[in-house]
Amino acid sequence: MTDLTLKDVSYIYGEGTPFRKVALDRVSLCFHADRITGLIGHTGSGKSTLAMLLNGLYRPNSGEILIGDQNIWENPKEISKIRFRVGLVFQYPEYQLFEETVYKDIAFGPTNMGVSGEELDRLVRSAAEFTGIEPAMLDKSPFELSGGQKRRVAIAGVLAMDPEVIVLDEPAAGLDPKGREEILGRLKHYQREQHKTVVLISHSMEDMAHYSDDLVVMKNGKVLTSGTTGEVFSRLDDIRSAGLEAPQISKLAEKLIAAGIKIQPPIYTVEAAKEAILRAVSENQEK
Amino acid sequence: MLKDITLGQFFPGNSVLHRMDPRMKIILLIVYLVGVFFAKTFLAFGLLMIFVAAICLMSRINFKVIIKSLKPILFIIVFTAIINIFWTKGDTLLVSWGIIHIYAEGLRAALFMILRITALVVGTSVILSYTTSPVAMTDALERLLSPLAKIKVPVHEFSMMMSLALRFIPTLVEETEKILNAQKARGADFESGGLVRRAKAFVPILVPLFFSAFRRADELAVAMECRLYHGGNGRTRMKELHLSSLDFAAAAVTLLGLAGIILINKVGI
Amino acid sequence: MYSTDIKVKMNPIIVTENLNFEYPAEEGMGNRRNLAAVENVNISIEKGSFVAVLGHNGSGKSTLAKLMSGVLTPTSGRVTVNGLDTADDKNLMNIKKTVGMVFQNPDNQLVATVVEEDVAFAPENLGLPPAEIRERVKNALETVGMSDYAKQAPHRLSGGQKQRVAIAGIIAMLPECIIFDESTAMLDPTGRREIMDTIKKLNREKGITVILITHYMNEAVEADRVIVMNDAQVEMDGSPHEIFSQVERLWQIGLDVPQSTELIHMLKKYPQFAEIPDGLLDEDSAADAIIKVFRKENKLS
Repeated sequence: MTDLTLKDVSYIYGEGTPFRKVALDRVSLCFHADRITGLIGHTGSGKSTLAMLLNGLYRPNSGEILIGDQNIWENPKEISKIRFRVGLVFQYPEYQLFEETVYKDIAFGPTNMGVSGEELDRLVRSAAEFTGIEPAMLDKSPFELSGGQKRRVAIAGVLAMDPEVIVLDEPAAGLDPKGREEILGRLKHYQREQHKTVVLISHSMEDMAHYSDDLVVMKNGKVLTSGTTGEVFSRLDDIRSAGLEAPQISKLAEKLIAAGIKIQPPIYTVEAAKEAILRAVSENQEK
Repeated sequence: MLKDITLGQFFPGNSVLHRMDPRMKIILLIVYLVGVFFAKTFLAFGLLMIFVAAICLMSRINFKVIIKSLKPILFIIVFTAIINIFWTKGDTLLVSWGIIHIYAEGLRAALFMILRITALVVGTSVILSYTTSPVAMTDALERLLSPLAKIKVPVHEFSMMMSLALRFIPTLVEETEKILNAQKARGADFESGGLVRRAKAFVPILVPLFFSAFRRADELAVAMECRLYHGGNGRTRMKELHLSSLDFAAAAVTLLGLAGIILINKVGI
Repeated sequence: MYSTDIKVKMNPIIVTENLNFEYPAEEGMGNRRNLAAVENVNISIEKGSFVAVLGHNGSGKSTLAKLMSGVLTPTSGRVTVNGLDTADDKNLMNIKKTVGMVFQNPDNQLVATVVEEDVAFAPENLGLPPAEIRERVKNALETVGMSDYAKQAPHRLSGGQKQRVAIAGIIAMLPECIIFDESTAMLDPTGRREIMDTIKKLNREKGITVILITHYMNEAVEADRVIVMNDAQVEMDGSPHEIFSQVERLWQIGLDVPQSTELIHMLKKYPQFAEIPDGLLDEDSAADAIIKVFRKENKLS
């Protein structure tokens, strides 16, 4: 149950060179404990840089990042300990697999933490279970698996460190609809059971609508808007000005409202749209 | 960061040296190097230094960059100079102090050695690597060596391999960085421990990198076939290399310089 | 039963007949049986059409693409491109020149360190004179809107830009047909949009036959014809309207439908909305249909 807070964080690439680029510009925000926060933005909006800052792979040029009350750079020599507390799953993480067996690969993180014996076994097996890796698969070589399975092994490798905060950069990129649902559904289930702080980076507004509790919209290295998913989806204009496309269903709802049908925005899932339309039809009938 | 390494050390530009035909540059570099090794007198080295200064100016490359290119070989320069000073015996003894004898000939040899190495390094960098893009270089090499293809030397294949390597170096550098970060995020430690431990720490980087390189190679091969690649036979090039008056002028100047150095040697001034 | 194509098939460019393909079983994979990737596929691609092949990962759609471009040769059955059999090595150069392929990872199909030199690769392999190569490169870069980047290094470009360069490299061969093998899968929404716009332009303006392999239903919606692959076989074949009318069936095989289509599908279970036709693909037509119901019931404020 840990908040992850950014206070006035700036990050600049290539300071002092002609390629100087401000990737994050005095960002302040909070990823709340026990919630899934979606982080959306155009490519180059700074969201991937933010992910690298959250677990101390990059060090901010100014500002501070707090895990609970502790500044993660309080003791720079101990930064690797922070990386165990804030797990980061990169884009296309399957390309980081290297061990002979799935089991050993998942165990890599916790082993580096100094965990061994029964505790290690427990961590590996529970991470495998959460990501839907069957026990029989654990002895296979990760290179024999399908793309979607590899992806889940790589995610399990981070979950096995039992971090307090988990940051995932596009965990469903390139997967087909079934694969997306499988991975994101399992993550949500994991979060609900383990009460972790989850940060989910994605381009897909549809996925965000389904899986996140809170949303942060980034643009040009700044936070454009943030709030609960419902709040943010009620500001479609902000979403559009960040260069993102609103979900088709939200656009449809906008048209219905414009035509005079009584629907309360925000509408961002098909289920909610259906309920709202049915309510509008029956409400009218009573009058 | 790995990304900041400039590979090939090529500085794009539009100077006289940049515009020359890379084939001519390679040939003239060889002529120049012959000149460097032939020079034996003060006058010859003077001529050489004027030539070096002239090409440096013509390349319009920052002087600091050129000086920097000498930095890695500073040790060699100093080392050979010292050897020459103390070990060359001659007629004119300048200093005699215990077992140390320094002759005028020794000083001269040391100075010439310094000038020779400087001319060698600066000349090669400015004529070739700083002002010729890697692509132009492989291209020129392929064409210069093409007669060797007749005796079954796979010239085209080598140059294709070289240009593909050049194309993929930035991609693989980027990928290495990504994998490095991903393993760091899982607590991999590349900094502490003894040699064996550190070497072992790189397994989690190298295995994924190799797998990815092989996958890329596979996909690239299919893509190249789809783009009708079938070896060097019957292949033409979009960019033709043309010798211009500039190239002939450069050739004339360089050859004249070489002739001058040989003449100076003969006359012995 | 769903190939209710009304148009008379007149001028096919690619035809598959009883096409089968099996990947040889790998050592140590447990089961030694060969894996059927494409099974008994009979399709014919019309010249100038825009066909989307939709299917989940492992459905055989990418294998089918590689068979149609001569990268793979059938285990049994036949693929012909303009009447030429892909199994005959003599035809291969000709077939590859006719059917170009753009792959998923843009990085792994660019060969040169300069954009224009990369685009020149195929014409160079064709042995064309330098002036013509230059002309083709110029035109191809113009078509994909990358002329300003001609002298740049590909690794400095965005994913969508790299993929457009890859497309230019194929256009420069002047192919009649281009197969896009999940060419948008690794791109962000902007890159995906760029590629889809380029694809439509190639089809509509240049008359190039397009076969788009994808698992994004919103891309398939933009095609003239959708072929759905499942378990190595052709499961459905028809217009986007026909295909996306069958919401339940698509869900069953792990595919999505547009959100508007899904909404209408769910509303139709209620009597007021039962009249709305299935297979409305975009928010405009779906919204209009719903508004019409409200108007009919006289329930608009």
